[in-house]
Amino acid sequence: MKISHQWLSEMFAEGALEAALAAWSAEGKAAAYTRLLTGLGLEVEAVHTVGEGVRSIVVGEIRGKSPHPKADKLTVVELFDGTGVVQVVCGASNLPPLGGKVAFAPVGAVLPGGLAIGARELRGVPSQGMICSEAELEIGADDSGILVLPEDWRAGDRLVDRVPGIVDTVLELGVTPNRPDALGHIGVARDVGTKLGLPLRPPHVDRPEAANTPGLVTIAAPELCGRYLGYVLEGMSVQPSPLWMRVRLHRVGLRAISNVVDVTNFVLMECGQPLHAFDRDRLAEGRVVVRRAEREEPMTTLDGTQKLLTTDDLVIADAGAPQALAGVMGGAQSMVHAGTHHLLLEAAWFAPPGIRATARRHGYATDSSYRFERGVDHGVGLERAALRALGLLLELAGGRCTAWTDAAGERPQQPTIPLRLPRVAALLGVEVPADTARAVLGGLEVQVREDSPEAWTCVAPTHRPDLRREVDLIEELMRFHGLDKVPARLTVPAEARAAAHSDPITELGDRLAEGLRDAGLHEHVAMAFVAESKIEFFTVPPERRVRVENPMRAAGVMRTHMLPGLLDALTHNVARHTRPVRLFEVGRTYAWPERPVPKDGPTAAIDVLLPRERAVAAALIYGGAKGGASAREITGAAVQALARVGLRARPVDPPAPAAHLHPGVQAALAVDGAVVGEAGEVHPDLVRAWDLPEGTRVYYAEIDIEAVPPRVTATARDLPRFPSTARDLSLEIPLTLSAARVVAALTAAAGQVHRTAIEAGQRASGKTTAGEVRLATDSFGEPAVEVLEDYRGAGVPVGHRALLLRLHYAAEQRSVTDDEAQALHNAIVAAACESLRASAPTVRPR
Amino acid sequence: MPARLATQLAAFQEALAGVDSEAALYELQVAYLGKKGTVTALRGEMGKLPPEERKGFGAEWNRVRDAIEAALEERRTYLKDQARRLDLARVEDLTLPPLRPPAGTLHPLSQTRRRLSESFQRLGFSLAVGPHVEHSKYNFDDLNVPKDHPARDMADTFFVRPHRHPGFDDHSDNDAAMRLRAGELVLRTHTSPVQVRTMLAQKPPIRIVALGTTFRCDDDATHSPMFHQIEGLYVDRGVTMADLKATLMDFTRDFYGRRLDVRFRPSFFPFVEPGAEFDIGCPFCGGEGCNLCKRTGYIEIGGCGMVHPAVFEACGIDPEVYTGWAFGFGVDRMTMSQHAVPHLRHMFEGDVRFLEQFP
Repeated sequence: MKISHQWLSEMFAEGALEAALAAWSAEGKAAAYTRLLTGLGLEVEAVHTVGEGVRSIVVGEIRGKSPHPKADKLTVVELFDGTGVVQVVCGASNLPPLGGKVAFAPVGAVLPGGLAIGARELRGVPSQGMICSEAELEIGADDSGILVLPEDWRAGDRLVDRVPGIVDTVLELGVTPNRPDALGHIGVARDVGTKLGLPLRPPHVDRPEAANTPGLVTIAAPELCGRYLGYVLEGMSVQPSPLWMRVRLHRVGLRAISNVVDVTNFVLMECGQPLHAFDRDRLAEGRVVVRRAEREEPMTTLDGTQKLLTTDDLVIADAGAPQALAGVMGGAQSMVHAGTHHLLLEAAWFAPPGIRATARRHGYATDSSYRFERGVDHGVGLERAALRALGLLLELAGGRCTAWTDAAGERPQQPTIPLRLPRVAALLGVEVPADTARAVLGGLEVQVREDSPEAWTCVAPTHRPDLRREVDLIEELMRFHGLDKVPARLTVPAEARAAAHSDPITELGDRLAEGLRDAGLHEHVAMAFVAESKIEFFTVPPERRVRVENPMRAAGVMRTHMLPGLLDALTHNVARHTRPVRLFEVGRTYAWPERPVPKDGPTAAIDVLLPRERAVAAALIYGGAKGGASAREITGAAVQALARVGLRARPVDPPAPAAHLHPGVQAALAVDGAVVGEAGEVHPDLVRAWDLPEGTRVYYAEIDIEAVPPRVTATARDLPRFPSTARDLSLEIPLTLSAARVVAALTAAAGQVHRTAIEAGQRASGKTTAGEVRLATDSFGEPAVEVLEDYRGAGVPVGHRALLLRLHYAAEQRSVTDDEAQALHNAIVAAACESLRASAPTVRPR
Repeated sequence: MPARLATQLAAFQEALAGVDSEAALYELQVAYLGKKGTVTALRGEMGKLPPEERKGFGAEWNRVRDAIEAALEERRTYLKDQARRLDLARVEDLTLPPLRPPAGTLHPLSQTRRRLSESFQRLGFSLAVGPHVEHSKYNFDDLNVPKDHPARDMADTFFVRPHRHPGFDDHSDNDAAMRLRAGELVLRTHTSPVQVRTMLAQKPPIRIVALGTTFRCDDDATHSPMFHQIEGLYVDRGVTMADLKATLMDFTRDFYGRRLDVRFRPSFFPFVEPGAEFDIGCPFCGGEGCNLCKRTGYIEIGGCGMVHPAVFEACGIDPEVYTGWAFGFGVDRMTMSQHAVPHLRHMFEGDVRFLEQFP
């Protein structure tokens, strides 16, 4: 919202604002406005001083014109500047006839754009200055020709004297949605006046003497239109506005069009009230009906687009068809044009939600809808705006007002708001004196009845729809009293506070992140949404994907997996350097549950409508252009992460293979037999889909954070008193048989052999010494079976490999002899091989 | 016999000169003085001597043995000394690149989030979380942002298509899902729905901080469609805006290591009234004015205010009994200014050359 200082000044007694502002602060206009308005919640985003360069422009009179001897498009002009005649070369095609007046920049002038005017020669002809366009003077947008001034202006007059306020300070305000009143100069002036103690004196307006003619306006949808003022003007002539009007509109960022349109825009910017002018000759029966559109009723708006309306759209129709989309945009048929001389001027109040819905439905965001959807004044301000426009129209376009009416629909009630002054301190910790409160509320035009010194009853003015309850008034008091007066004072001293707690899933995620960091991975943060094509490899079916209706970057699906984001990052890295890429991310994945999942707690009714969000920690390792990473690094990283939360994880055969991982290079991650994640090589199809070089090996692991069991406090084990004895075993197995299964088979066999030996010993001697020697356990109580090597070289049949294992044997009360260790080892190996051969017949010791 | 003793001693001394290791020295000791050593053997033969010679021989034998032992000891000391000198002559260059496991890092956003979370926990705020896909009731309605109100434009919203479970048509929850209209599910535009969820779930006093991912359809050099927010909420009897100011100042002391000024400017957020923007004294120059605070001495942080009574009412809390405040700010921009990150895009690209800069 652009606010002109000159315009604001006109809302007060002459010279009053300038003086009060200077008295309030000596820091200069720009700084004073910034501090004053920002302090009131009307944030000043920028301040522009404009028009300084216009000071040296004078009115020039054309005394002679002759063609340039060497250039067809140039004219040599004899120009009278009030003191003498100078020769100027001009390239414009719209030079007025002799006696015409133009804007002249004499030698020595510096234009607003910074161009310094000097005496120069244009293709051999001397030129003593420049005839300017309004664009060059930065007082308008027209750069198609020079600015032609009224003929009755006197040559030599300064433009700044002819157009008061042409030198101005323009403020760009960020107006928050609760302040529709500040979308016009009067509203901003009211705040400024209240702060500076200046009474508001807006321009004088007159009511027309014509008769009230109720037949002009029919409100058929009173719930959507609270009030409609209509004025009929006859004998108008549509033409360009005078310079002061065009400059004023240009200063606040609007383009001058014609006097009628300019007046409605002028009032929009002065009062914040959108107006509309119909060509009354084009309205059937010359009257309007404010009604809901019919279903699929067609209408062409003045931008030339045809719309099919709905019954939720409010239209201003004539006796037959819609002529305007109420509060949003006028219609093409009845728009004001050059030949219009008969007007119906509209000033209305429309219900904000309806305007907003209509504007959105039809894809409009206009200056008009912007204000209506925030709520314009439906009281005295509305009529003031209409009368201000009426006065300006009569002044600029001639004619007279022949009829008017004020039609009523359902207007919002102004709430009666109790205000308890002590409540200010209770809420803000600072008192506002009653005198200050009285002055602020008075300045804002809030009606106050002081029932007692502490309890007041207030009614807000119709231009402040945001003032609805006590806190709203308290905020107003604080805005003007100064929010900077709030002291810093704790309600409860720090030592009396309850202890804070963390969130368990966040906590667990943070610890896993630290584990992955310690494993040498860098944390990445990827977008939570991805393109659908990137998750097609994954197992969440299309109907369970969570879709964004209005995506950006073509990423329309909430990620179902973490891998696509990490692969995107990998692609980014590979395109830029050749180094290894080790990344992880802790985040959420999203999917609709397969079936509705009942929820409990106070938010259950909402929660049941929401998708499932899973917390996941994911890791990716790529060895760099030279390779060098091993698949076991990814299981290592995952196991390290889980170790960070006190858990011993191990890779096991996956219960069901993950589709996005290489079928032969993957494992599940298990903690105490429960699967908490997966790890493996990224499926070659995915490597291709991400356009990574053929043969690139990428490793990936993820941990389902919510599946991670709680940390268990470690229980110490006594240390073995006697050393164990080791026996190595080289086992020839098929490639597809996993080490985890071999170890499990050996462990199971050890248990079985041990039990058999005890039973046999008891039968033989009735003593329990047999079976005293057994497979040892490690520090964690796990069977001590080490996997030393995975050999795939010469001497091993095709489709097989040799696994080198080391088994440790121990007894509790003594050392183990070589013979008994060997006997036990042989028995365990035989039993394990036998059980493995059930599914892998080619297993054999080497 | 004595002559043989002298011969042995001479032989020993000759052999000793050639010994250059502890092991060889031990071997020599065993060869002469061990159980089967040659000198030991001579002592065994003493019984064969005439009694009058025995005493003299015994003394001579002891002398020879002592001489050998002393020589051995001397040699042993010499060898140890020699070995130590050699050991000390070793040179290894420890300015070569250290061997360590590859260094990993936490994302700068994570680091800021953790520091904020820890700071506010020390100030007594518990961590609260909520879903990213949220219902507009919690993201907007209950926060005093009604449907068809311009305040909804303050955040460009991503809408999520509601889901209908196939084959569960009779399920009542599914009916509710069926009734969901387009536009009712959103990606949360701020962390504020966590306020609503917390106030629905627990009674005051409430003192929480919500930290997390938020989404808005905004994508340019300074806006990412996904970003991060922190939000604090304190509700109890007698809570005032003065308490908010003091708490934010306490936060600056904990987070920046010095208590910085806090400045309120009136503003509008539908869920607070009065609403304000808050600035803090520039942590980089301490308020003296620098490039980072554009010479103003303050940096803009975020929004805050007193919880709007309409929000309390939506959450079943009596605004006549309780008051409260809330504040919120962006984590991304704070992180970027803290680390002087030149471009927002670096934050979400995952370039390891960027990420490794934040140990």
